[in-house]
Amino acid sequence: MSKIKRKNRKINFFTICICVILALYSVSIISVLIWALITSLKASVDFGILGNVLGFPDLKYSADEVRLANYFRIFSKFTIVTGNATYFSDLFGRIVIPGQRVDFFGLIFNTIIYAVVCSFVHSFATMVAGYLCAKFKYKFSGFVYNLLLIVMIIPIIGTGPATLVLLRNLGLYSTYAGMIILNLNCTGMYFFVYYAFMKGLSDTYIEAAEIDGASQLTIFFKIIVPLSSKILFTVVLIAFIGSWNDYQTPLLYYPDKPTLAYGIYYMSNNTSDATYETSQLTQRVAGCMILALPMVLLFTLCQDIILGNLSMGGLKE
Amino acid sequence: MEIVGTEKKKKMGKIHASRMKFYVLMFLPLIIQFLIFYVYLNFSSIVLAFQKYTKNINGLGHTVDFVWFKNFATAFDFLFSARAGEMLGNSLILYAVNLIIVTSLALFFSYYIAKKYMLSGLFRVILYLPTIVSGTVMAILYQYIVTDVYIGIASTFTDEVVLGLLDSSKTSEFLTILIFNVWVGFGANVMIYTGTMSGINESLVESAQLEGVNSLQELWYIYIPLIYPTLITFIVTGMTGIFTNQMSLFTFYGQTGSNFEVDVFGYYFYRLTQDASVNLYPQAKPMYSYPELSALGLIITLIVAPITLITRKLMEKYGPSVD
Repeated sequence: MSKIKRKNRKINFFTICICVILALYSVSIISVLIWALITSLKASVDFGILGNVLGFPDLKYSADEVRLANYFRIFSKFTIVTGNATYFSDLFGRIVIPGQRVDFFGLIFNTIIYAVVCSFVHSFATMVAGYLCAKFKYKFSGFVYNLLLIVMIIPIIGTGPATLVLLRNLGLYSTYAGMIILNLNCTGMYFFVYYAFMKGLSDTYIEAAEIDGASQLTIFFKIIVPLSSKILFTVVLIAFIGSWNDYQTPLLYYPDKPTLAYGIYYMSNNTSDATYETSQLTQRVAGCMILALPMVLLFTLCQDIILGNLSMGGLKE
Repeated sequence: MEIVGTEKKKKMGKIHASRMKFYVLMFLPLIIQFLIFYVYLNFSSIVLAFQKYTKNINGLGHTVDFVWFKNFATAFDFLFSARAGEMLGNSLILYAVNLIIVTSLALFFSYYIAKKYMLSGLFRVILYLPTIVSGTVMAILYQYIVTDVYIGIASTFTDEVVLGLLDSSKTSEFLTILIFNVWVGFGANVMIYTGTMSGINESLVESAQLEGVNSLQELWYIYIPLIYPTLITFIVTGMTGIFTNQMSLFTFYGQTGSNFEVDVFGYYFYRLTQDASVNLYPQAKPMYSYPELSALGLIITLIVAPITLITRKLMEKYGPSVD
C-alpha cells in the first residue's frame, strides 16, 4: 500500500513550485506571529520612541516591562465602557442601562458564556434536526431537509435592522435568553454534516433498543450522541473557536455583554486617548496575544479533531 | 401464537407512538425558532421596508405609517450614486481576485496536502492558523505592520513624513486591504477541499498514472471533478459575499475611520446597523433609518438571489462529472 502511495507521488516542477509558495506563505504567517509575541514583551519606549520595531526587546529600556508587564497591565487596568445598549422597548418597556464598566475578567466571563452557548446550543440544534430528518421517515422530514437546503442556498441580505427590532420587541435584546434562542437555529451547514452522518448510521442499534423498551430520549442520549461524539466534538470545537473570535455579533445583538474579542477590537480602535491605560501599541499587541493564545493552544491540542474530515456528503437532491 | 402476535403489534404500536411523540417534541422548539427568527423575521424585514416611524410629540412611543415605495426610492438613489458604484467595484475586484488567485492557489495547496507531499501536515496547520488566531487579530497585527512598523522602517531612509499604507492614498489603502484578504483567505477552502480530495479512490489515480498523466492533468481531470460540488458552493457563496463581505474593514477602520475612502456593502451595512445613532426614525443624510436599510437589503437580495441560483444551476449543468 505504501509503495502505491509513494508511486503516486511524483515530485516534479509543479509540486516543487507549490511547495515553495507554501513555504513562503508559512514564513509570512509565522513571522508575523513571532513578531507579535516579541513586540508584546517590549517597553513602549523601546518600540515607539527608539524605533525598535523589528528587533528583540532591548533589555536596557525594556527591563521593567519585558517580564510580561504589558500583559499584567491588561489584566489589571483594562476596562471598557459599554455604550450602545440604550433602548426603550415599546412592548415591554425594558430599558438597558448604558455605560457599564466591564473589566478584563468580565470580558473573559462574557466570552466563555458566549462561546459555550453558541457552540453547544447551535451544534445541539443542528444535531437534533439532522437526527430527526435522517432517522424518522415521516414526510415532514423530507420537507424540512429541502427547506433547510433552500434556506442555505438563498442569500438574504440586510436583515440586521429587522433582527434588532424583533429582539428589542421581544425583550431579548442584549440578554442571555436572546443569545440562547438566536443560536437554537438549525439552519446552516452543520445540519447537512449531521444529516449525512446520521444517514450512514445503522438502524439496528436503534431498533434493538426500541424492542428492549428504551425510551426515545434514552436512545438519543445513550446511543446516538455517543455514536456521533466525534463529529459533535469537531463541530463544537470549530464553533467554539469561531465565536471566541467573533466580536461583531456580540457588538450588534448583546452590546452590554462585551466579549474579549470586542475588548481587543475596542483597544486597537481607541488609540487617540492618551490617558487610556492600555493605549500603547505594545500593550495592544499583548491584548491580541491574550485573545489568540488560548485558541492556538486548543488548536494544537485538538488539531486532528478540528482538521478531521468534515464532509457534507452529497448535497444534491 | 395469536396472543404473541397481538402483543407484538401492541408493542410496535407503542414504539410508533413514542417515536411520534419524541419527533414532535424535539422538533417543536426548533420549528418555533425557525418560524420566528427566519420566517417572521424576513417577513418583518420586508414590512419594515415599506414603513416610516415617526416619534410622537410627547416623546412616548411612535406612529407607524405605510409609505409604499418611498424607502425603495431612497435606496435606489443610493444604489445609483457614485459611492455605491465604487463600493460595488471594490467588492467585484475582491471577488475576482478571490476567484482567480485564492481559489486556484487553494486548489493547488489542497492537492499538495491531499497527496501528502513533503511537510504537508505542517502546511495544513499553518494555512488554518489565521482562522484560529482570528481574522480580527490577524487584521490588527497586519495593521500595525503596514502602519507602525512600515513607518518606523521607512523613516530611517527618508526625512519626509511617511504615512502608513492604510492611511495614505486610496489606491495604496485598497491594495493593502486586498493583499490582507488574500493572505488570510485560505483556511476554510483548503480544509474542505483537502477533506474531499483525501477520500479519492487510489486505483483511479493509479490507472491514470499508468496512462502517463502529469500532476497538473491529474489535478484537472481527477481531483477537480471530484470536488466540483464543493467548489460550486464556494464560488456561489462568494457571489453573495460581494454584498456581505466586509473585507475586515470594520476591524481596520471601525465606526468612523479614514472617511470611508475604501468602502464595501458588507462594511456599510454592518456599520450603519451597529451605529447607535441609527434607528427606526428618519435620519439626517447621509445616514439612513432601519426601514431604508431594509429596503436596500431587499433590493440587493432580489438582485443577488436569482443570480446565485442561476449560476449554481449553470455550474451544475455544465460542470465536469466524475467518469
